[in-house]
Amino acid sequence: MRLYFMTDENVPAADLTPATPEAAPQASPTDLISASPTSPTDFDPSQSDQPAVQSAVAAVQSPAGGPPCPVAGCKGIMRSLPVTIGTAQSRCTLCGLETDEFVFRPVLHETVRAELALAEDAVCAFHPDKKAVNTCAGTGNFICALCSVPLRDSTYSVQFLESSAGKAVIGGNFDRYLNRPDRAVIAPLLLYLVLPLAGIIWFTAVIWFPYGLFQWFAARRQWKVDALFRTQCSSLRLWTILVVFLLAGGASLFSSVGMIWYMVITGIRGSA
Amino acid sequence: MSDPLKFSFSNMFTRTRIVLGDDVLTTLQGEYGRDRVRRVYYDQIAFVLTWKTDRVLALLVMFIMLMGLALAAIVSFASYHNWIIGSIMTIIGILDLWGMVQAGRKKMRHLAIYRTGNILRISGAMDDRKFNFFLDSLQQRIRAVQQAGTAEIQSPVA
Repeated sequence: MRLYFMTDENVPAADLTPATPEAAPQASPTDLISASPTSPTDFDPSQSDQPAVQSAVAAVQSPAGGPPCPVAGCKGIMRSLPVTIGTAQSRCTLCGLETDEFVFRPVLHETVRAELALAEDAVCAFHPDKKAVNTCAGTGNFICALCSVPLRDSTYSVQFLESSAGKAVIGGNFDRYLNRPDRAVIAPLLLYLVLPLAGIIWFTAVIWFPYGLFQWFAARRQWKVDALFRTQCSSLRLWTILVVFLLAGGASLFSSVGMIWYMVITGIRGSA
Repeated sequence: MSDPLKFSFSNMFTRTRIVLGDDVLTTLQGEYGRDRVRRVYYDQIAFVLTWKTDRVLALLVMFIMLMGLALAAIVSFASYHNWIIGSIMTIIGILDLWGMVQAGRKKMRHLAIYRTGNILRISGAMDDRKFNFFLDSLQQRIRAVQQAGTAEIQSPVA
């Protein structure tokens, strides 16, 4: 079991107090631990004056549940275990799973409801019955609260962000897949190792060598523009792949072309 | 803006990579030719639960493989006096045994991240020290973002 007490030095004690009742966090043993004094052995949480500590004590003692059990299919609730100093644990009420628990305070986002437009109001370009509240920085269209996406210091419409021009603005921030052409370079090398067993390596290099080279250049292009790709494929890795590919693929291609040339020459001489 | 931290949770057949950016946790699950990307913004995270289990399945598979290799090596040495094949089997068996020791040392780690209305589950083997470092880094970054109260996309690795 790890010890978590007083590890979070960046959190000042005053900050643990919620600003408003709506913003009150789901108090937890972690809050209790973070707000505890430096000598935990002398600390009696139930006697504390701090609101965060009191709410944490209430959460620990409350029969109301915590988060749902993370095990797929289990309908249990994670209930905090009695706090022993320095630990924050919870146990599922149904399956009995015991976990270490960290509790955070999500930032509340104000939701603006889209209003119905009156006769004299400007209307949203995409929802004709909604009142326009913003102008899209990408297209200039009037947009309603439903379509508005604040991004950095501007507001864009959802429809613009889904277009190719919008993707240029947000980069790869909303992409669901990251292309890995570097893996497509490695795959032909594996073929190079496997195909000799089947005795057909000589004719395949003509196909996969240009394909692998094309994929390497695609990886190089992506490496220049995609920050997430750069975290997964370093420059050293990219160049190492190229060197290995050229050595193995070049030798295979040379053999392949030589064998084809030999067969053609043999065929011509045989027919003559 | 600090450098993103990289971690990986390895399973038997898949590997989940995690990138801790300044304001977002990005997970990448490998498929052929591309990775499935999931992003969790720190300002949305309410709970993080972690627990660990033994790698029973991996150990079982490796043990069965070890038995098979041992049998093949014994047959090669004893019946056919085939030293080359027997030696190869023995080397693979030793590597497998080393893998078993590693699998016993690294526990299966499970992580459940609760954000707005859903749970992101990540499982995989990771060394204890590395996992503790990962948790500390994650905790610090979440707290920093939630204290600042920012919800804007700031970093390019978002």
